[in-house]
Amino acid sequence: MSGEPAAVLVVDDDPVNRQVLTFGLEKQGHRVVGAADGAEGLALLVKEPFDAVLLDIVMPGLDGFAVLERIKGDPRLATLPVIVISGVDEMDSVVRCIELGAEDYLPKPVDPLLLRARISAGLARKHLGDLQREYVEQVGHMAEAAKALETGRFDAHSLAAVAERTDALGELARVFQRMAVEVLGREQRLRQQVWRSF
Amino acid sequence: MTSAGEPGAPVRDPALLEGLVKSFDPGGAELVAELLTTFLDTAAASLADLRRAFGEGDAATVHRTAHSLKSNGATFGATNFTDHCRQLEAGAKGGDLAGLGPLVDALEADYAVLGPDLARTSRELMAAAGGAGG
Repeated sequence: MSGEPAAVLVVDDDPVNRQVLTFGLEKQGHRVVGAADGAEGLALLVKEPFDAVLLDIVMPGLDGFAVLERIKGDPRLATLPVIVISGVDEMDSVVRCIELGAEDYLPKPVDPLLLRARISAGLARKHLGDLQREYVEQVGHMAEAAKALETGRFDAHSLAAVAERTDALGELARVFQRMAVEVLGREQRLRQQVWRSF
Repeated sequence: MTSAGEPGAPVRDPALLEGLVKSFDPGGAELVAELLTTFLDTAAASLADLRRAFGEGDAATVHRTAHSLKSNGATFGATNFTDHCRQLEAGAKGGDLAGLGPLVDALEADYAVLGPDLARTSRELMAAAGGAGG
């Protein structure tokens, strides 16, 4: 949830800004990794998992726009919340970043209380998004299991993860597992009876 | 163009640093002293880069460096310094550095006052935090 410690990547070429953000996030209990430019930030993103990115816009080399485009264009990273950091006089850049897929923005100079609010909100949205994706994926497992049952290839273990859920989908998976085992048992008994009758 | 650099204007608004210390408490004084040290360790080199870039007509570097220094100045409440950075950043954005020389001079003059002021504040914060820097 939003209150849990998260891994946050801070991409900012300015050492003072990086430090302000790092101190603020560490005070909230988050683990922070800093990158001094866009290329270093992207390299870190493919090397280790992060829960959120704080991204400066004006940087030498790969700027914030280029980094954001690469993050959103990479299916492995596209769902990562990116909060851009910008001066209050850079609203046109902020709008462009939001259009490119940034989650939110944080004005400079960074207010630690606002930082806390924005990062918590971003992490909470990511958590909800992750839950939704997992739910959809597990509904897909249920559909695959139903097809497998129809074609006689059902494996009860294929629903183990879904059946562990404590919600209605988990209950559905458990009922499906029991019914599938029953159906398969009946089929087997029927085949044995037919076989014996010859 | 250098309207923010009025003679006698305060170097910085102390409320900004006080607020920053409070927002990082407990231990805020030590963290802000660390921030000031980082700034003091890098600002002179950034200003030298800016001066060099200005001399070479490198508007992109002038723009980017003024942008970073502006952000630092705003963090520490350095009003004149921040305003001069903002004007320099805006002026260099289009790629034309003509007429920006007085702003570069003004920024260096701001830092000549701001640097020692922040160094003193950093020492005071370290002393308040019970650190070795006091």
